[in-house]
Amino acid sequence: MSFQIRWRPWVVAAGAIALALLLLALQGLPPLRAAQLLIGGAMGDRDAWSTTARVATPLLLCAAGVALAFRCGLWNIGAEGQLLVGGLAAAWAGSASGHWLPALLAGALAGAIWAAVPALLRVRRGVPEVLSTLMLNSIALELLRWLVTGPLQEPTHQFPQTATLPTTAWLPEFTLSRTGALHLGLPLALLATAGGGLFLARTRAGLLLRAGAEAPLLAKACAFPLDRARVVVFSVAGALAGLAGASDVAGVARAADRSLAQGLGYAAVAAALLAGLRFAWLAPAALLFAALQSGTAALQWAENLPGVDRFGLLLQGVAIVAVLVAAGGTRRVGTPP
Amino acid sequence: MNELLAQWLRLALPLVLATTSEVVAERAGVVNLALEGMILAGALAAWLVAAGGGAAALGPALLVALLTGVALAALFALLVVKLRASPIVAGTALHFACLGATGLLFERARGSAGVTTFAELSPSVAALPYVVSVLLVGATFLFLDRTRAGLAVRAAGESPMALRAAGGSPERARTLGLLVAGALAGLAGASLTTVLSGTFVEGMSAGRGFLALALVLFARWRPLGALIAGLFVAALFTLELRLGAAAASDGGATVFLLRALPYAATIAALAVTGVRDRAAPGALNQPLDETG
Amino acid sequence: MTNAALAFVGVGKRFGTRTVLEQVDVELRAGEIHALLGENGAGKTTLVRMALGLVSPDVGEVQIDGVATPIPTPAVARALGIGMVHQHFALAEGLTVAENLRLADAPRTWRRRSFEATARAKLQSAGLEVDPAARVGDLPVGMRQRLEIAKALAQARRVLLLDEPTALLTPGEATRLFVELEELRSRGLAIALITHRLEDALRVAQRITVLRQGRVTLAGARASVDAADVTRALFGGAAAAVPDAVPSSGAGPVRITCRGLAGERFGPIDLEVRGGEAVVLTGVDGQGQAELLETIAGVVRAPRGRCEVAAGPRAFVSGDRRRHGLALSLSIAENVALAPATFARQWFTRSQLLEAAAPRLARFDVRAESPWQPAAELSGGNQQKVVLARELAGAPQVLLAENPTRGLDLQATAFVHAQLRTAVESGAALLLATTDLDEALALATRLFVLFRGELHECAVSRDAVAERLASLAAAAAQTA
Repeated sequence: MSFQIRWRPWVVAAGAIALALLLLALQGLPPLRAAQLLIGGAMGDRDAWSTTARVATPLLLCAAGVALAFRCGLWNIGAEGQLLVGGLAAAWAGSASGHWLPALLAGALAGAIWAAVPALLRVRRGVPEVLSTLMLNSIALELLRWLVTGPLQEPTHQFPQTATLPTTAWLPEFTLSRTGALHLGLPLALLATAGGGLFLARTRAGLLLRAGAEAPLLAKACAFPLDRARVVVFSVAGALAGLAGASDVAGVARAADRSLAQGLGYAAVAAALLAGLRFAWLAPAALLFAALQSGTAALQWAENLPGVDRFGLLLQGVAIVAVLVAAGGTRRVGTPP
Repeated sequence: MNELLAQWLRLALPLVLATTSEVVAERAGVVNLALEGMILAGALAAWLVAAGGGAAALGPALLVALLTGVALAALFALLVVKLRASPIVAGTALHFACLGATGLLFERARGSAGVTTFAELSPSVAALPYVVSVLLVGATFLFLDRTRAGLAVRAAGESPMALRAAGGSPERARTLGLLVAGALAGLAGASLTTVLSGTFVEGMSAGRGFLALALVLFARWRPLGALIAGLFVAALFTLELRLGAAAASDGGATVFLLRALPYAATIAALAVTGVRDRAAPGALNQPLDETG
Repeated sequence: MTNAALAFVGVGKRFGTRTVLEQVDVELRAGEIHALLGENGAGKTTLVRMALGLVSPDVGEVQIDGVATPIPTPAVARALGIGMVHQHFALAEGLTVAENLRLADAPRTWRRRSFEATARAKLQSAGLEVDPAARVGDLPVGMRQRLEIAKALAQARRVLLLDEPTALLTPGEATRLFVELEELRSRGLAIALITHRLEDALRVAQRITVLRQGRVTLAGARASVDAADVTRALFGGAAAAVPDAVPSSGAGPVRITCRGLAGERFGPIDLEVRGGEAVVLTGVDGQGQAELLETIAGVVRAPRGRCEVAAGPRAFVSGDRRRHGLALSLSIAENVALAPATFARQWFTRSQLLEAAAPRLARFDVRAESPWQPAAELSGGNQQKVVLARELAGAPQVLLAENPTRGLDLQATAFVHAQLRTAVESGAALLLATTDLDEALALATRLFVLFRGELHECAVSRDAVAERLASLAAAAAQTA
């Protein structure tokens, strides 16, 4: 599939956000003040920047996985579930081992396994991965609900969450400001993005996987084990989402509870689509979505407007719709599931 | 026993409506990934109209929810049919916009309105959503199976080329199919607020729209199949609620298994039945072009 | 002279720089079956699309009953009574027979029974014994064809166009079709049979027009032409200077062996191709060449028989560019680098990829703005050159190709032929399927005529091939 998204759609998306600010004005908030609060809250100072970057980290990891799979013709809508099992595995492994490295590895492994299931079902049985990943998202959510009140519940059995990780299992941090520390997840996310882009553009396997997305017989005629490669790449996408969950648990939340994910995996799909599935644009797209989230949170706090933080979600959708409208008619439609 | 039956029906109603909606969309050749978002929007629209309004507001609430679904479907059709966007991309985007918009509007409106429990309404009024649903599902069946417009919708999903050769417009037919699907999705949302819970909760559709995407395969793209698939999965949900309450003592493993059962069963069934179902619309997800 | 029901008078059409029709005159008369023959790309489809209101001519006009009548839209064509039977049937396979008929011509009724009754009446009048409630996808192909005709007749009061109607039929079904066409003809309909099957044209047509590269190369009453005339008109009449065939470089090792290889579209085939020889299969389109080559190339599995291809670098230039040839969203350079024989690095930089691709693109004269341009943006001829640049550049020992020069200009064609020759002379085994007789003669060490999935060995000469094709077609026309 080719997503021919260049500058114009981003301009349209910006226009849509401006329109959204006007909508806010109808809620009694002057647009200028809203914009000021929104932008200030997202990237006004170092604190704001580190909050935004912290939100962007898991988003970027998941989006890298989603973009990787989509570019190979695999419609992985399952980042949400993969992230959840990754976070759970990290919470368990971090507590059990007392170190952050096993936590990250366990998270990545769990995500990979959660993604290997739809991959194998697609390759062996032809089950559409859009459906199987959606179902697995629901199962992962149920799994989380059970584990944080059951086997993995914290020792006092009072709160629906896992045991707080020992400090040795916290991710190494580096600080940008007094209040907001950044953790190892951010460089990992950037590394994964670069790696994913390089893999697709600069390796033979990446090349043939992309070719296989639109002409499977061509890839097979080039003596390429397409099915096996698809399972591997799907699993890697899952591992990245799992890593996102793990880094959020070991880097921010220090425990897994029901606030894990909360639609972040779906937002990653949206971010990847906004970036036109191109890796160079993933980080800006993830940053934009994260900024919307931290900015609207700041807006809500400053102006006492309950629910305004949901505005971010709305804008994410509006941004993609805007991109679609802007690219309308010129774009080749992707391979159907 | 009566209570069990009532619970089953309450759980089945949104599922049957959602699955029927997706049946229509897919018979028109478009997978509607925005279904979940449309259901949420319908649920909120119904709540906004009905909250505090009592029995008299129920009818208008259903109507507004239905129209909300239609409006969203019109937007979806604009993107997918007119602008030829990928249904997966457009559906995801619209789902997001709905998720965000419902959360925002709900938070803004919550302060003003109280919570209404429709269960307090008299049985004759409370039956209204069921009556409307049965009528709409029946009308959908007749529309698809008997009318010329419905035939065009199915032809658009089956072979747009054949429809065009016969002088029809696949664009118009797909749009019409999506609008009908939107109406059903909006009503599915309304049934969540007016029948199942009596109020609105953020994200209350809880994956039912996504589940409906899979149930369509078992419904074999037929409205009657949607009814059976919806009732069956609702039975699983009822079982889960009943047994879950009884089995809460073992650390919740049983509850988890019961809750995961509908989804796991869906995956397992997909894996067993395999893929190439000949009941599937022939041009499902195929973009339209000038010749085809 | 009577006025024709539908006539093309001096029509011409260009798409971009490509001329697809030039000064074409064709008359379809009431009560006549008119065979329109030509290879793929000869311009038949464009002509038909003009009659259907899908394309309008750049010059010339379309006349109805002798009156110039523009046909700007399909609705106008329908109103004029022009109906079409599509090659791949414009039928919705998942719908029932009655529903398909209703699509074309709807009775206003809610009751399933009543429109099924309408359909039944319509089917009976067309002599079709088929359950109106049956799903079209479940019907045999011949029945679908007849249903398609029944549907088209609802519109075709004046002219019925049939596009390759026998392509998917068994001989028995084809015979039945021709009987039906004869019956329609006698009722005064003007019928155009668009085909590349010579035998069909000879069997049923009263008038024959042959198109080659957008021009009429033969037109006349059936009685005044014979199979040899038509063959010559189809494949290029004047005996162009044919270069010497590739000399066999003696007995190289056997590189391709087929024993009793059979698929849906081709019969049991026994064939050996040695290194240093070029085996060419010629014949019109749709004789099973695509399936045969795909099977030998190993991209589809053979239902019966076996086939062995020597290990080592191999090239497969498929006739179906979209299915096997190119990944259209990938760049030109990437498409060239796909084959392991052309670019074996497991990981690489852009400049390494370009280094491998650029000389090949230059050698095959691929004209593009940049090597990083998506392949989808190229013209068909340039796309074909990209495929050839990938497949031929890696010194393959086994070469499988179907119509490798289709869409190329003369210079590029000569270049590809030279490449194929060089490969064969240096010991490669070439198996080439081509509908272009000049190409076949220019390259063949051994030559076979492929007819209905069967191989008939033939001397490497124009006359021998024309004679063989004509006799096979004539025999088929009689026995069927």
